[in-house]
Amino acid sequence: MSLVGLLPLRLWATEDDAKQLFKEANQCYQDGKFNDALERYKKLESLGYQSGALYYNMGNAYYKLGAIGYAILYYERAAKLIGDDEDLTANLELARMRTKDRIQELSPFFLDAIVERWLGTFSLTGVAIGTVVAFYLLIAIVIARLQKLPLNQMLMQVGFYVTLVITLFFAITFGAKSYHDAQRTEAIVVSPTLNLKSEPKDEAKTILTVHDGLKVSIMRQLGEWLEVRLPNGDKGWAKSADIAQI
Amino acid sequence: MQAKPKELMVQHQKSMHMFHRKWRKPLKAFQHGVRCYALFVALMALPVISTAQDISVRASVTEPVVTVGEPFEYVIEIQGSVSVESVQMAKVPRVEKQGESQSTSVSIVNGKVSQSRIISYTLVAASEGKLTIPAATVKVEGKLYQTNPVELTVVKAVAQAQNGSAVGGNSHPDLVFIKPVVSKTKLYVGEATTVTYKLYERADISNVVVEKDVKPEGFWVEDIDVQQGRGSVPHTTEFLNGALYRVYTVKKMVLFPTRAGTLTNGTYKLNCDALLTKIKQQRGRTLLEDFDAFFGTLGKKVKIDVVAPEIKFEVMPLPEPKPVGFSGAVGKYTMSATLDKSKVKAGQPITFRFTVAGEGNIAAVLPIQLDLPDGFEKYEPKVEESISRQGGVVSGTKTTEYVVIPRAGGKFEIEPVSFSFFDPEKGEYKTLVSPRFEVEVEGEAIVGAATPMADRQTLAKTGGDIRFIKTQDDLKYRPVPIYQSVWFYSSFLLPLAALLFVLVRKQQQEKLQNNVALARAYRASPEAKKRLKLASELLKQNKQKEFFAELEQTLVKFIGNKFNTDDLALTKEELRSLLQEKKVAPATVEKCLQILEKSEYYRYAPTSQTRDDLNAVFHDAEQVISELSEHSTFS
Repeated sequence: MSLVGLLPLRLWATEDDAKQLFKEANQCYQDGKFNDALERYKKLESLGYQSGALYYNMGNAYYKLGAIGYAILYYERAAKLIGDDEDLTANLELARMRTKDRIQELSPFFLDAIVERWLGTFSLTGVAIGTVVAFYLLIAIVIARLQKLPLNQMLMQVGFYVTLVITLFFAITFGAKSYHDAQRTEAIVVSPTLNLKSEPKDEAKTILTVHDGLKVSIMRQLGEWLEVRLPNGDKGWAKSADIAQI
Repeated sequence: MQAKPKELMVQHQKSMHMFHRKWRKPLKAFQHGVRCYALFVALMALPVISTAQDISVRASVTEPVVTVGEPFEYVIEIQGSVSVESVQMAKVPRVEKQGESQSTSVSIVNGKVSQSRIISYTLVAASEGKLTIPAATVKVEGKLYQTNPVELTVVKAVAQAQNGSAVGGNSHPDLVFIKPVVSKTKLYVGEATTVTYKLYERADISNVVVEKDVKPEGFWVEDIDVQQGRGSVPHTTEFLNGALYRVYTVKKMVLFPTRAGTLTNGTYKLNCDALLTKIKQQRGRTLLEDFDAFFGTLGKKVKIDVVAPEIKFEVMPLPEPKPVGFSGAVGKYTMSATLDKSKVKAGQPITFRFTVAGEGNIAAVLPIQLDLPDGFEKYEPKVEESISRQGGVVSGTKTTEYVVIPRAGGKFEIEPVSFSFFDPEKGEYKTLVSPRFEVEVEGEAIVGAATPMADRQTLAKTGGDIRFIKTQDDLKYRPVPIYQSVWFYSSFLLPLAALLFVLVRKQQQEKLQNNVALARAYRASPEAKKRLKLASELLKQNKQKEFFAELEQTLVKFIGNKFNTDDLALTKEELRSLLQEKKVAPATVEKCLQILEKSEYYRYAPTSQTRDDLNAVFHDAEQVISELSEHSTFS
């Protein structure tokens, strides 16, 4: 079965075919055939294609099919690529409202909140480009000053410091975002109900029951069990099949 | 107690007959006809009188079996009149009269007056056996009436005690004993049984101490409060095998067996002091008797252990099959279920209240479970119970109260709750089911009251639906995260390389500027060549003076630059020693000095020179500079 499934997939492995498939999927979505659309998006994803738009559209298709957990998962994945997208933010908020769990978040340390907000504002690519551009500008200013080009010295002085600050800002943001991205500690509950256990075994006592769409942090892994932390700080064990990493 | 006292009525007809008989003998003397007439008159007249008076007389004893030495009551009751003139009692052997009392009662019912008089005698029998108290003669309103004779049995004091506690340790079971009263010994698990321990005594006991309390194993025990101690317990008297006992309830409890099988409650042991009397006084308690007791003449005090044997219970398990949701409640219960309001706004609490009431072990009744549909937030129930042990029956109520907050709007049906229990009297299970509740919640379909304001605003803004998909594709095939891409990091190399180049160049320049000697040496030849060119121009213009000045300058400056010395202050001798020091070839030194001498000479003695001479000097100068240029600067 997998072989038969793989053969036509190989045929789509070129860029143009991928674009064609994406268009087809979008058409399906537009016609209200969300299942068909989702199937095509999934094919694209399994082929190794990624994009903010693809994930966003997958989120939309899941939302329309009522799978809020997966919808949120893909919106979150899209957010990693396209960051502060207006449509994405609106849809993600709407999907979150349809989740069953209303867990009071621990009020974060205000600096953490600021950092979180600041990291969420930019996409990784954006920050990368910003870092490179700012760095080029900084070096240009340095060279100009070294060469004692006949320019306004005062302006050059100010320009140097401003560019230096901007460069550092972008570089730090980039580092933080990359670290955040590489950690992959955030996950979304995708099974409709998930019983959080006190220990990593089936017979253990159920501490809490949560539902799909809840964002959790993965603390550690033990075989097929993951220890997760809820937004309110509660911890429990869940099977890895019930949650998906963003 | 066992037999009711026999009461014999002496009817007026009968007494009339006796009366007639009494007078028969004297009348014998009269003639037969008169006799018959008189009889007729008497027969006619007496009923008329008796109807008006309606007098009857009867005798009775309060108990048919009495104890030797115990006082008992002999009562003569005269109905219909209160004017009793005299009572004649026959002398009864072995019976002593101790006292008498009289009472009169008059009542008027429907205008009819009824009167009665009761004369009671306290008698004491001295020996055992059958005893007949013969008829007594009562004179009422001038007439004589006779009572009925009364029969009674007198029993021996020692032999008559009923043995309810014939267990070792009780030396006087006739005087003090405990009688356990059990309501049920064969019962179901969880069914209530009442056990009462009654202390019977007729020996004036004191200092009652519980030596060993019961130990019911496998039972849930509810103690019924009885006031301990003889004096405070309201006691009754009871005749048992002809003896009068004072009865105290010393312990009362309700037991609920918790498991099936044969269970016992353990023995119950009391210890008390009893007063043993040698001679039973017949007057009851008097000051004199207390006086006697004080001097030890009446009796002696002994310690008596009173033991009640353990009671065996046969406990049956509850029959199978048990209904679903049965949690072990046994007894007789009713359930009420209420909901405080059926129409509510989302986010406002409603209260479900379930009350189970009835007889049985209410403490073992579990709280009622409530299942709610999605969209309701249920809090831990509040459970209250009240238990009453009134009258030796354990009963009470258990209330389970749930506070529930609906989060979503809509109409909801709440599944009825049920409560199952076993009724031991009927031997069957019963299930009580509450009515189905309907709750109407006002509010938005999804957004509960708990939804933050921000969410509501978003909902309003988006109209409740998500935005459309994105159509521009920016598909990337297996993209490498930018923080892992080579391009990203290598893009920093270009400006860094540029910076490095600039820096290296600048450093070189600075090095040149800082090292004057090197710079002068470096500049010496080009500068000298420039000046020689100028000099040759002057030569062409035939300006001899200027030509020589320029030539001298060129040479001196060149040497100064080349060897980094102050060129302006150089004398010929200094120049010679400098060049020699620098190991310049002597021929070159000589030539150089010659040129300088010539230049000096021709500057201050301007004689016309041939053009060839001048050209020769110029060539010499060129040659010297060329030779010096090739000479190593620092050697």
